Amino acid sequence: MVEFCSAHNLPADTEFQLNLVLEELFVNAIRHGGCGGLKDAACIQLDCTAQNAVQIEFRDRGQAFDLTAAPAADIGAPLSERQAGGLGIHLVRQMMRDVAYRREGEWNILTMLHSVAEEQETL
Amino acid sequence: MIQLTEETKAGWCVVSVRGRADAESAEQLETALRAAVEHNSRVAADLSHLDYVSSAGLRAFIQTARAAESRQGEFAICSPTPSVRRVFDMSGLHQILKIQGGLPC
Repeated sequence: MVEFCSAHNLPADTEFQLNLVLEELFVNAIRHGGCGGLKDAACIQLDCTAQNAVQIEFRDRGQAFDLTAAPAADIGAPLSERQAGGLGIHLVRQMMRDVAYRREGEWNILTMLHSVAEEQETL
Repeated sequence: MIQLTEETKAGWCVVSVRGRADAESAEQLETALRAAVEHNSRVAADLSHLDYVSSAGLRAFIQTARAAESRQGEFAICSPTPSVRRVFDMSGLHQILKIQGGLPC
């Protein structure tokens, strides 16, 4: 990830957010998708597209799970009612756009885009 | 990789959190912060040298804030970098946690 971001001259905050998104997807696949102990359980592809965006394709061989259909975390809940789960998926949705899911054979396949230009404007 | 150090300043227990608060280090972080709120009525987590936080790290802060609240203690999250601050904000935690720009002491 460090090499990818430096090769494409991406800002530090983009590297931070891409790291976070990949961690959330990977941890979910291991903890909830049953990928723990599976060989070659996940496969990640990163591409820097011409529109100043980074495309991620994340594949895992866990149980079928459509992140785009998962219920939204209640981020307005008070401290005492805050649920521990759902925050990772919420962050992925906040940081990425055009999130799409498909199941191909034993693979869950998620594709998504991260806009670099948009993020720089808001810094 | 996370580094945690603790010192007492003007009635506050200040826990300095350095490195990465991720799925690998979250348990260590939560254990240290919860121990701090169990033994001190006022705890500040200094995040000025925290480079990264994911949802696993956020949960450690949420659980600590809950533990502090149940003991009527204070738990302040201080000096996060802009990138870390943004993750707290995106998660709605700025509304339920005490997050401030500098240390209270």
